[in-house]
Amino acid sequence: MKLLIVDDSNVIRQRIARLAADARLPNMDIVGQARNGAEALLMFQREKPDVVTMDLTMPELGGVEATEQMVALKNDVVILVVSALSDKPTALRALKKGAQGFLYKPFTDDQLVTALQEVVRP
Amino acid sequence: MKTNQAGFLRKYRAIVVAIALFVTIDIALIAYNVTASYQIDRLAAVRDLSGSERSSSQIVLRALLELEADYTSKGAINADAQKALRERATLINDATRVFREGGRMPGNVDGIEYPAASTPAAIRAAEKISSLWQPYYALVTPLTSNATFDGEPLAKAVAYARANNGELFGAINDLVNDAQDRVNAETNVLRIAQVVGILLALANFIFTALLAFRRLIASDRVIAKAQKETGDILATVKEGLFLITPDYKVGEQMSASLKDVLRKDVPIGQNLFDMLGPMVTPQTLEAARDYVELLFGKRVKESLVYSLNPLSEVEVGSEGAKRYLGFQFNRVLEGEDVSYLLVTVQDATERVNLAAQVAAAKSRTREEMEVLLRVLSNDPTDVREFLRRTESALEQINDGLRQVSRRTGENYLALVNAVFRSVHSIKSESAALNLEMFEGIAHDFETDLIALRDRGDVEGADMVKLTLHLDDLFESVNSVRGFLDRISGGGVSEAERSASARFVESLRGLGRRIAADQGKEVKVTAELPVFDRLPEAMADEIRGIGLQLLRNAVAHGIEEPDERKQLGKSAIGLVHFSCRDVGQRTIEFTVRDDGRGVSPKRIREALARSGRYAQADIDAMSDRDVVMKIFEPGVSTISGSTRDAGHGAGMDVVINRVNALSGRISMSTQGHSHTEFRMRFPMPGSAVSETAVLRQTA
Repeated sequence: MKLLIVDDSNVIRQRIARLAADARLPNMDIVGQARNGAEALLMFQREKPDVVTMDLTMPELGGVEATEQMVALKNDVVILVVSALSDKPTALRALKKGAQGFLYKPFTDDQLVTALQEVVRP
Repeated sequence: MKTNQAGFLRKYRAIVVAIALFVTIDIALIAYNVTASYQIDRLAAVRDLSGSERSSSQIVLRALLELEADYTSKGAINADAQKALRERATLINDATRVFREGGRMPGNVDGIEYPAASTPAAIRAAEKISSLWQPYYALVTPLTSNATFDGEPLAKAVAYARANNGELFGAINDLVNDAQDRVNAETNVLRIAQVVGILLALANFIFTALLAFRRLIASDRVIAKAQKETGDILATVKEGLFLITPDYKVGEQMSASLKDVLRKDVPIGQNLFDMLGPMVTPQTLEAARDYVELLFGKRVKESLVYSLNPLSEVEVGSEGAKRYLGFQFNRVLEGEDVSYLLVTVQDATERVNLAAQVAAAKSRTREEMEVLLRVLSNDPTDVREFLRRTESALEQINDGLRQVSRRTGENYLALVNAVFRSVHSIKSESAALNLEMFEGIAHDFETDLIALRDRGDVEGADMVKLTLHLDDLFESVNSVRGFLDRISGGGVSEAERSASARFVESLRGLGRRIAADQGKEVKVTAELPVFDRLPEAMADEIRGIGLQLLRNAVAHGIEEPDERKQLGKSAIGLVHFSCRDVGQRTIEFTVRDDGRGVSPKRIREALARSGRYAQADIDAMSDRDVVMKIFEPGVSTISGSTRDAGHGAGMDVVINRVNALSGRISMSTQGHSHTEFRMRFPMPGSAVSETAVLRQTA
């Protein structure tokens, strides 16, 4: 399962990348790490990932718009929004555009692994 | 799907078997009916043919007689009779052959395949007919054609017919009867079979119907029970529960509590957002609409969007009666589709308040940590010195405030000024040490004092309010001192600590415990300069006395905080212990509390309650005598016992221990002011002292 990590924070990207290697998430291959929505879309078109972890507030192109365009390109893509809880309406907008789940920052290791497990569960 | 079918078959197996049986019986019955009817038809045909044969035998006879009559009288051949003779003779001939051998009539005129005679009677009859008919037919045959017709053969044929017709008729009649009997028998069997078949079908129908009814009744019971259970759950559950349909309408089932939780009626079929509209802001309503739409869709994972629920804490109610409601939404699935959302509404006020309290407590802990870090940044000796001075100043203020109720109005302003000076000093010193905890409280204290001073007209009630600040400062002193003690005393083992330190610690521990149990606040202070020099046995006895008197002081003497405040006292009761050398090898141990004092009135009531003294005797006692009674076992001023008081054994224990040390005890007490026990013990080896003495100031 191909995973694309989208977040403007290098620390968060590294942390998600480390956790994606957890034994509870078998066959999770990281195909890219993007710092903003625009970069994420380029990687998305190239790699056609199955799963995306999506930050919402990012420079250049935000998570909601990136989510909308990714779903338009590949309807069965699984998108987990990972963002601060302070902006519930934006998170709801991302879900309306086709994201499947939401995990708020800050999160524990277990919370992220469980959320990824849940979001890819058929 | 297959599972569903298997389940259906298992559930309705009996009914399916019954229906299959019904169909089988019907098919068997119809098959038998067809076969039997065919057989009956053939037998009836035999009967009919043999009937024709029988009548034909008579027609043949009549034709012969007519031919004979015409031929003899007119010499003419009766053509009609000849024709009848020919036809009937042929029929009899063919029928006789068919009855013997089976088969069809020539030309298959009737289309029937006749069976050969099969019963013994029929076989016999057929044989007889054949044997009678063959010669008959041979005689008749020449008469059927004009070419061969003659008088002589006619006469022979008529003679044969006259001689044998009766027998022939009888044989054919036997055949007819046999066929009729068999038709009757077969018809009877068919009738019985039909009746049995119908009965079986009826029985099967009744069985099936009963089974179906029973299942229907059982299933109705299950449904009724399930409905009752659902009803009971909905009537009992504390949460407000209801369903919403995909077009956001409120479903028909809802819990009884819903109305109480929402504090309004929820009409069935009402639009969810119309219901929420008056309770939330337009933004929250819009977010709620998005959230509910997402849950009705299939794309989002339910467990991964709970945290986005915009209705988890909805503030309702007006100022003063503010409360919080929590709405929770869960999908109800039918197959893979979301058929409903289950909405759970709870009063979340407690949870929200608790969360706020936890947040406040965390913040307080953080502040306290900061204070303690500041304390650590100072020299502990400086801090201890500050605490000592502060405590001393606070006790002075406390003493001043305690006198308020007995002072006249004009003195209060002077007191306010005096207190202000002390508090200001505490504020300055704490600021010097960067102890913001004290500085803050002192500042608030000062602000209230300034307000009073500026007002000029200060009443007793105003002064009582000031004790709150005093309590806060006392508590801060204790808290910081405790912290310092823990830091500095962390490495000191039990054995290394002095006997007096252990004694004080146990007094404070007991004081805290009993005070907490009784809802009181108590501070234990001690000056025990000689305690560490006492022989171990003596120290143990004094320790026992001290703990018991402390128990009495907290349980009986110290008032509850509210009562103390009303009396103008600090909410915190004081119990002070002292143990000192008063010369002449004598040790004095005193225990003094600032509680309500020993009340002769209460003791009189206790004595009356104990039932040991007649009311007249109690009335006759002096107050002093009455008070002396507390040293008697079994007398307690508390009605009903707790683990700390009420057994009436405490003072008895004290007296015993005092006696064991050859000491003497005196008591002074004053209502709403204090109780003090003063004991004097000779150091071991000195002369034995006097017995117990009581001194009381009412």
